Amino acid sequence: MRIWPQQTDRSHSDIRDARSAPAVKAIGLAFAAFGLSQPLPALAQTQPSIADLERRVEALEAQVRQAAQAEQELQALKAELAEVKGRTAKAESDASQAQSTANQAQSDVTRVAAVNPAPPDDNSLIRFQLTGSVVADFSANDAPGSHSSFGEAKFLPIFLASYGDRLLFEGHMEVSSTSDGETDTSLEYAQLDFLVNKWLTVTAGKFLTPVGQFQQSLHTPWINKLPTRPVGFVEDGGDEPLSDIGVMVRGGFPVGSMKATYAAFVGNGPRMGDAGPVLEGFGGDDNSDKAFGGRVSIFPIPHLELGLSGMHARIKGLEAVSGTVSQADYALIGGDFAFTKGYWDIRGEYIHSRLDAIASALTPDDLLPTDIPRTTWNNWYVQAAYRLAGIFDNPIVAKIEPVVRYSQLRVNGFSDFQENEEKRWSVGLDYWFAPSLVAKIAYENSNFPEDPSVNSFHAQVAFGF
Amino acid sequence: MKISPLPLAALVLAFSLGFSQLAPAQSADRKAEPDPRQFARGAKAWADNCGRCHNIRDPKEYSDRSWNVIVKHMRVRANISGDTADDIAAFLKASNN
Repeated sequence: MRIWPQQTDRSHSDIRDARSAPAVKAIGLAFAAFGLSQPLPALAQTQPSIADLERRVEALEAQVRQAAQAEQELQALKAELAEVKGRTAKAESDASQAQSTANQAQSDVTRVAAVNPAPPDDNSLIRFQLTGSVVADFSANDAPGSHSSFGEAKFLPIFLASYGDRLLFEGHMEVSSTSDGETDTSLEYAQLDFLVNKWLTVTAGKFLTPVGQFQQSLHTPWINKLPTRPVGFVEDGGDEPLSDIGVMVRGGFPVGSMKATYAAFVGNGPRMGDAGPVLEGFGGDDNSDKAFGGRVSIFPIPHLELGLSGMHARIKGLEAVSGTVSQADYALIGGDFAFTKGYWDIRGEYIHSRLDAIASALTPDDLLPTDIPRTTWNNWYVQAAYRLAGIFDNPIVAKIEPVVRYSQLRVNGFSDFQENEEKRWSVGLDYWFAPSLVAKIAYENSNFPEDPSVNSFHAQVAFGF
Repeated sequence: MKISPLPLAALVLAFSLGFSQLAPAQSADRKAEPDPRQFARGAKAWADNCGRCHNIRDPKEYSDRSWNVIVKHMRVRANISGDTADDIAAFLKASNN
């Protein structure tokens, strides 16, 4: 049950708080009107009108509160609008500054291009290029009396010069430091190539013998995947010819959907040495019989090459102090394959050569020639390498390439030549900093017919440029 | 949606600076676009032939002038036909800038 005076007092207090003067006046006038116009007995009859006024006052109070809240929200919105205007002005200023910078850069570009105009087309008749490779290595083994050693540092420049579109000179030197402190210089090849048409090139001069694939394509240090060469595929006294001086034709052509290559040569040929025929190019012939040979290969599928090589020469025995030397036929036949797909590089070669019986000195100091019986050499290797990028995404691991190779040289016939027989396992790891910059380490185990086996460690850094 | 002006300004500035670095090279080495079919043949021949003996070399290792001579050198070394050598040279020279 409501008590009217209390209700009235409370309403007045609220009115003051709300600072609503019109409402207070209205209540006062209402009380005065009721007091003057109505007798006391009729007071009860006026209460509904007061209650009505009370409701109206409450409604007015609510409106006043809403108006005050709306005023506050309006002020907040005005403040936020002012902040947005300020940020927009700043953005316009930054964009204008950036546009100014871009205009300045464009102006600089135009000025630089005017000072450094585009180079003329490469239409010069003679074009020159220097390329090649450098190599440094270290090796150690457990053979009695041997010492670990940093090997011969080598610099192998290749000079290239073309004349027009059809003539090319290629000159490859090897400059190395020897174990006695001297500098050794040799000429690997110096050849003039005439590019007759798109399938034929005629070459004259000193060239890498087109027999097999290691000596003519793989022996360069940054290409060879191990620090060492396979047994028998060496520079001096190897079983696979290294170079010759003469004339050569070579090229490649399509055969249906396949591809084929060929190379054939005529040259001075090998000479006799203390370990058998020396298969390097000599700048003169000690007999009139020229060596000839070559290689053909076919690609039955794009990543597989199968090659067949052959060579024939007539070798004159090494002159002794006295006595008569003879000449003998030398013949070679070989096969090779290479499968290079994705991260795999698998290849191998086999060389079989034969020297018929010959009367020859073993060194120029021999008093008399030695009767050397017919001798054959069987020389081969297989090698597999896999780049770990095919398995691992890690940028460091992906540059590692494990390599394994087995090579063997067997000699039947003259006993002195059999001293070169060897069976060798090679296991290595390459780290490719770049396509032509590699660091290699390798372990090798070599077995000989007479001597104890030798374990060796090799390290090499090679760079092709 | 509010867009902060600072990243926008930074982007414009970065583009401007990048353009100022690249534009001279593009302007100086501008060359004719290769035949797309020859480019495709050259890319395949480059991968198939060069990788037969050694790692395939990055086209950016040499300039156009150098590639003109080196491809001729390798044509002789690797018994590559003239057509294929031309395709490889076109690919390398179109990919070295």
